[in-house]
This record gives sequence, C-alpha cells and structure tokens, in this order.
Amino acid sequence: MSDPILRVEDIQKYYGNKGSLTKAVDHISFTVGKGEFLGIMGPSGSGKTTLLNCISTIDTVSSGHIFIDGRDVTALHGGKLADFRGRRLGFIFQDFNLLDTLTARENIALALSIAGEKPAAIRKRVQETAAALNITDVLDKYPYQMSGGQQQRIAAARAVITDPAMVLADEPTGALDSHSARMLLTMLTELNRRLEATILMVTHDAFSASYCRRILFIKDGRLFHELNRGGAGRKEFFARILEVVSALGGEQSDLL
Amino acid sequence: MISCKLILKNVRKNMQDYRIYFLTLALAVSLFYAFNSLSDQPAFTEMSMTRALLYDQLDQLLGVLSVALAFVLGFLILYANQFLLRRRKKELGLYRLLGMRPGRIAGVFAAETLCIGAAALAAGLALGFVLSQGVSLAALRLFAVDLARFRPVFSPAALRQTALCFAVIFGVVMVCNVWTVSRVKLIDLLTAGRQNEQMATGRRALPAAAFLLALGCIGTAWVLFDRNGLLPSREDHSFEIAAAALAAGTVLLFYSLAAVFLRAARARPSFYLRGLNAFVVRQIGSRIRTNYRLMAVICGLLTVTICAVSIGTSTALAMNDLARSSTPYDLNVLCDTDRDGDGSIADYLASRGVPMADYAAAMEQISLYMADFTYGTWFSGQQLELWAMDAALSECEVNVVTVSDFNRALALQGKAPVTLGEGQYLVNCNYKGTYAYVEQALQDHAELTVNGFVLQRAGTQVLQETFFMTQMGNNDRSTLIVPDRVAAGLAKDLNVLLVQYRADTDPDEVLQKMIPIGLDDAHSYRYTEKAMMYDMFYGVNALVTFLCCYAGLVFLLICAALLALKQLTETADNLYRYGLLQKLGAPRRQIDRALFAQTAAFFAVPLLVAGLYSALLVRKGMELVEGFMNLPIATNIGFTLLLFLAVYGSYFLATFLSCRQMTAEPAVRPE
Repeated sequence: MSDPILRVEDIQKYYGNKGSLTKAVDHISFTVGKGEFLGIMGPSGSGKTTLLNCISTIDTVSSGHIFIDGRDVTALHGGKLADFRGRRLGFIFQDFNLLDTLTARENIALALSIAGEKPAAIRKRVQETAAALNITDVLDKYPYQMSGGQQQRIAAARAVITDPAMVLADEPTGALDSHSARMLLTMLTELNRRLEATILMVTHDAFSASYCRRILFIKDGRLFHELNRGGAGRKEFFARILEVVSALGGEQSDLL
Repeated sequence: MISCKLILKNVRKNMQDYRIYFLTLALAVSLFYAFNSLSDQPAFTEMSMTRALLYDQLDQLLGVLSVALAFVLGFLILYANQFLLRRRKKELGLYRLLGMRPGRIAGVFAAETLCIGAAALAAGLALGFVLSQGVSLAALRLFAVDLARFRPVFSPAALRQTALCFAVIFGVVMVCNVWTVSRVKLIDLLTAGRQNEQMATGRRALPAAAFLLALGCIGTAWVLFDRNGLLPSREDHSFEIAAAALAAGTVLLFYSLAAVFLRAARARPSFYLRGLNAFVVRQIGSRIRTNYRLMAVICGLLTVTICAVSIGTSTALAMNDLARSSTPYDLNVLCDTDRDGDGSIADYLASRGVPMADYAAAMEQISLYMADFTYGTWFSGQQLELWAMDAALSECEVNVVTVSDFNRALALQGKAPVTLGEGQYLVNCNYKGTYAYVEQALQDHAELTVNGFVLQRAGTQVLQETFFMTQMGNNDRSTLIVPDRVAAGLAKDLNVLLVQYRADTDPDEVLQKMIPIGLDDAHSYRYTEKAMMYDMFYGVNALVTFLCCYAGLVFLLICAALLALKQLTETADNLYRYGLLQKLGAPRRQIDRALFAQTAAFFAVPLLVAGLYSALLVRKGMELVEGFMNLPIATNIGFTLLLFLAVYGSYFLATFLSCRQMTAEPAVRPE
C-alpha cells in the first residue's frame, strides 16, 4: 500500500435527531491502494451503502476525512465537487441508472462530454472502451432494447471511460440473473487487471464478493473483519467468505 | 453538442407529462394575445368620441387583467417546473453524479421548459390569432361599430407584450432552477421517490390547534364581511383584516385538514377497515398534507373566479338601472350656438326633412350658457383629483342654465319645478367624477358672483337631476341654476331640444332621418337617442359580464390544470403502491374505485371550500342584484356555471382516466 488512492480517516455518519440517533457509520478508517479490487460486505442495515455514498461524495460525512488521490473530498463543494466527481470517479448502480432517452453510445459519451472532451476524442474512446467490454454491437440501442446484463455493462463502460481514479459499484449484480452477474463480475475483474482500474464494490452477496482481491466486513457501522485473497483461488476464497459471513450472523438469505 | 441532443430527446420523452401543461399554457397564451390585440383592431379607430372613451376604459381594464394573468401564468410555469424537477429527480441526480455543474443542469432543464414553452407560445399565438378575430368581432358588436370595417389583423404590440411577458417569466424560472438544483442534496435526488410525501402523523395537538385557529380566522372574516360588506372602505381597514384572516384561515385549514380527516375516519373502524378504505384515506390524507399550500391557493383562485363572475354580472345589472335613470327623454338634439346661431332647432330639423312636431308629444328647447369664471376658480382651494377624461375641466367655463329652462325640462319629465328667488342660485350635478368637489364648492360659496350679480345659495343640497341627455349617461359635470335675468348677458354655449315621442312614433324611423344630420360636418347638430343609449349600456353590461367570465375562465383553467398535473405526477410517483396492491390481490375494480375516490377528493375539497366562501361573498353581492334581476343575465349565470363545471369536470375526468391507464400498465410492479 505504498500508493494509496483512497484514504478514509475515522469517518462517522449519523441520521435522525436528538430523539433517535442512528450511527450508520461509526469510526471507520481504511486505505485502498492503486489497482485494488476491494469488496465491502455486510448484512442489510450495516451501513455499507452509506459508507460508499460518503466515499462517492453522494452523501456528506458527519465527521472525519476522506482523501481520494490525495484530495480531501469532504472539503469540496459545488462546481469543484461536480468536476471532481466527473473526472475522478466512476459509478455503477444496482438499477443501472442509464438515461433512457439516449442510446448506449450517447450514454457512455455523456460522461466525457460533460468533462469537456473534444467530439473526435470522444468517438475514439467510446469505440475503444466498447471493444474492451464487448458491447460494440449494442452501442446504438436504447436502454429499454437491451437486457439487464447489457445495460449494466453499458453503465460500467460509462463508469470507466473517463479513466477515473476509482470505480464505485453499489450492488452491481443486484438486479441481474446469475449468468449476467457472472459476466459482469468477470468484466470488472478484467478491468481491474488489464486497465489497472481501482474498484470499490459494495455487496451483500458472497459469490460476487469472491471476485474481489480484498474484502472489508462491516457490522453495525463498524469495521468487523478483513479478508485478503492472496494467492488463493476464487472457490477457496468464496468458502472463506462464507465462514466470516456466518460468524457475522448475517441472515441466511444473504448467503445466496 | 450533446446538451442539445439531451434536451430535445428529453422533451420528446416527457411529452406525455408535459401534455396538460402544454395545453393549458397554449390556451392561456391564446387568451392573453387575443385580448391584448383588441386595441389594434382598425375598426375601433373610427369610433365616436364617447365610445372611444369607453373603449379606452376597456383597454385599461384588459391591461390590469393581463398583468394579473401574467402573474398567475408565471406561478403556473414555476409550479409545473417544480413538478417536473421532482418527477425527474433521479435523472438530475445522475447528471450531477457524472460531474455536470448545477448551473448547466439548470440550463438543460430550463432549455427543456423553454422548448415546451416556445412550442406552447407558437401554438397559443396561432390559436390566439384566430381567437382574437372572434373576440374583436364580439367587441365590435358590443360597441355597435360597423362590422364592415372589420379586418383580420395581426397585432405586433400584443405579440411583443406576450413575448416579453414570457421572457420575464422564463428568466425567473431559470434563476429558480439554478437555486433549486444547486441547493438540493445529491443523496435526496438519488433516493427520490422513496420519501416523496409527508405522512399526516406527528404531534396531535398541533393540527387540532391549527384546525381550531383556522375555523376562528374564517369565522372572524365571515363576521367582518357580513357586517361591513364586500367593498374596501377608506375609513377603516376591516376589509383588509377580513381578507387577511380569510387567507390565513384557509392555509391553516388545509394544513390541518388531513390530520382531522384521518382521525375522523379512523374513529369509525367499520368504515376504515372495509376494502381499500384504509389505503385511500391514508393516500388522501398524505396528499392534502403534502399539498396544503397548493390547495389553499387553488381554493383562493376558485373563490375569486366564482365571485368575479357573480359580481361582474351584478355590476352589469346595476348599470342597467343607470341606463333607465339617465334617459328621461326619447331624443335630444344639441347644437353649438357659436357655429349654428341661436335659432330654433325644430325649425332647422323641419328644413332637413324631420318634422319633429309630427313625432313629438311634447318638446322644449333650452339653452346652456357659459359663466364668466371657470371650474378651476370655482373649485379653488380644493385638492382636485379629476378622472383622466376630465383633465381639461379646470380650464372650462362653468355651465349655467336659467331656472325657467330647467323647470321646463323637469316638467317634460313630469317632475315638480324648483323654486328660486331673485338673487339666489342652485347647483345641479349627477357626475361621480365631480360630485364631491361640487358639493364642497357649494359649501364654500354662500354667495357667488355671476355676470356681476351677487347670488345667495338657495340651499346646501346639490340637485341630481338629469335635465338633458348626453351620450355618456348621467354626467352633468355640474350646472349653475340662476334667475333668467342673470343669464341674459352670458354667452350661449349650447341649445338643446328635448323631445318626448308620441306613443305611435317609431324611434327607428326618426333615427334613420337623424343620422345624416348628425354626420353633417358643416353643422354642429348632434343627437342622443334613448334606444341608442340603451344599446350602449347593454353593450357595457355585456362587456363587463364578458370580461369577468373571461378572467374567471382563465383562473379556472389554471386551477384545474394545476390539480390535474399534481394528481398525475403523484400517481406516477406512487405507481409501485398500486402494483403492490395488485400483487396483494386487490381486484382491478377496487383499485379503480380507490383512484376515483382520491382524484375526486383532490378536486372536490378546494372546490367545496371555495363554494362555501363564495356563497358568503356572493350573497353580499346578490343584495345589489336583488330587485333588478332579469332573465338574460340569469341565463348568463347558468350558462357560465355550466361551462365552469364542464371545464373542471373534464379536467377531473381526464386526470382520473390517465391515472387509471398508468396503474394498468404491465410495468407497474413493486420496487
């Protein structure tokens, strides 16, 4: 971890008023190195999505600091924050969040044109990324003409096309069937390995998590455990994840 | 530029959401243009002075109305904009997530609204152009202008006015957008839809107290209006207080209504737990609670609408009465003595082929003189605030009539003569614009020197007779009545022939013969005829009714459109709830019924409250109307009410059907 791309320093996030205070994130600190594929796991309500929202600047922290690429994102506001998000972060959501008025190509290009790239450069980059993610043949379709798996791959292309410091994925396989989920996870692994993209993925699903290199377990807003895949194979890692999950006392349904 | 593409595609996709908004906007623009273009109709430039004055007043009225309309339109556009912002929160959140600056997002959004607005403007102008020809024709008829002079006309002034008005409104919208988009939190945008309505829960004491306070405010307003009537008075502020209490009471009422309604419903489990009632009651409750400001505004607009129509018609009726009192003779013929000499008007008419003696049961010729001082000197010491058309009055010599002429005029009306001693004077005035000053002048001048004679006032009361007819009705701006020998040395201004027809005289026959005499520019003879004046007043009546109905319709249209938009948008936000109900096994019919009840409640609640308010306010107005109610006006009210119900009802029906269609879509499923 000589070159940390993300440094989370003792952050907290509360909800509610003085009557009922909920600590969704309670003193969490960790760092993520460049090129890592990190998973964040935990049962529902453990605060994992809140943590991701804070890191991705969608939500604000109650206290603590988050450094991405050396910049304290908790101190950014307005236009600077928008620029930072556009250039340095990529997002993948459970429900894809594509604009259904635009074709796949336009959806992917949108991220670049917002960042002010030249049209010629945009064309080239979209073509390259689409080729890498194997979605060239659906580029001119509208989101509603595509399967969920295709839509999610378009969303992934949109997330990586700006060459962000970090890609943040919130339950990216949540709305996909197992085949599409597997394809997406393989693709994320490829992105991580070939393009050296730093990926931060939140999931409650042990199978999805088994594709990661390292996993942080969260319970009740606190860091509970950490697993490193090391040289282990995916199946072996999956078994180790399951052990931790049962130790966490997560609901049985979360295992599947 | 991808922004352009984005905007155009968004517009196309959201056309369904925009449909009611677009229609309403186009209709409003067309009305706005049609009424503002009235002043450019060339036929109006050829009207006589009096009618031109009336027409100027109409123009001013329309100006005021247009400003009000512009404000309401601005409100509507802002509101629709808020709807759409809310409806598309997630999309906006995505733009921000991808790094778009708030200013640019607001720009994209404003450009979309602008596209729709521009389309609505174009459609509205086209419709308005057609409509304006109809409005002009109607107005020409009301003013009895020769329809042959009518030409279809495109009014650049009205276009400019309409365009300017919309430019300002859109400027405001864009500023509001930037503000909203940059203020709202990203997390709220992305999780929008899950938390879009406030539940009608919370502390119980607060809504109950608010409800009682609301009833108190409304009651106070009621009592104040009941005691002091509807017209603002200069002496005290009871009108303002009552209006403010009513407004505050209304807002509080809608604020607390949901909680009260919910408690009432839950107190009866046999009702509450049957079918989908619990769901419907909760939905209605949360809808009213979330939209209490909108409901209050709509209730206010509806009240204004109903009152405008009712009071407009009653004003028209009051003017009918005025028409009767201002036409005591069948025909008046006037001539200027400086142009046509001091001869007998009847002789001149006979020479022009109008043997008045054959038509008249009785006639008299009287003279008006000019005093040797002006109104300005007579009113000196008073702060004059004259109406625009009387601006030159101060420079005019005061009118004088001899007491014998005045009494002959009264005798022709079958009225008793006035008595005036030598060395005395009286004043006659029946014009609202000068009456107060005349009354004061009479108080100020216990004695008055006219033509070298010192005269004492014979009484402190100003007479209010109509002793000759002018084209404008009751407007003797004031005349001094003096003994005959006092007037003898004064310059004559006018000779007036007063005529009462025989029973068998055909007024139209006389009028036809009089027209060339009136149009003869070589002589100053002009005439005022009873039937013609009646037409004028009926024209004004129709006009007032017309204007009020127009304003009322515009307001109604806007209210209905707002309610429809709101209901549609929120049903769209709540689709998953209906999907859930269907999954739970609720039959289609039950869901339709639930939707119907919700939509009906949403439309009916403001109308009910407005109806109650109007019943009170109009009752006061109706006191004016009583006594001279006549059939055509009653029919007008009936027709207007019917039209109102039709517009409101069709918006309601359209909304219900759209909602039903939305919930019937196969895509409706739990989130």
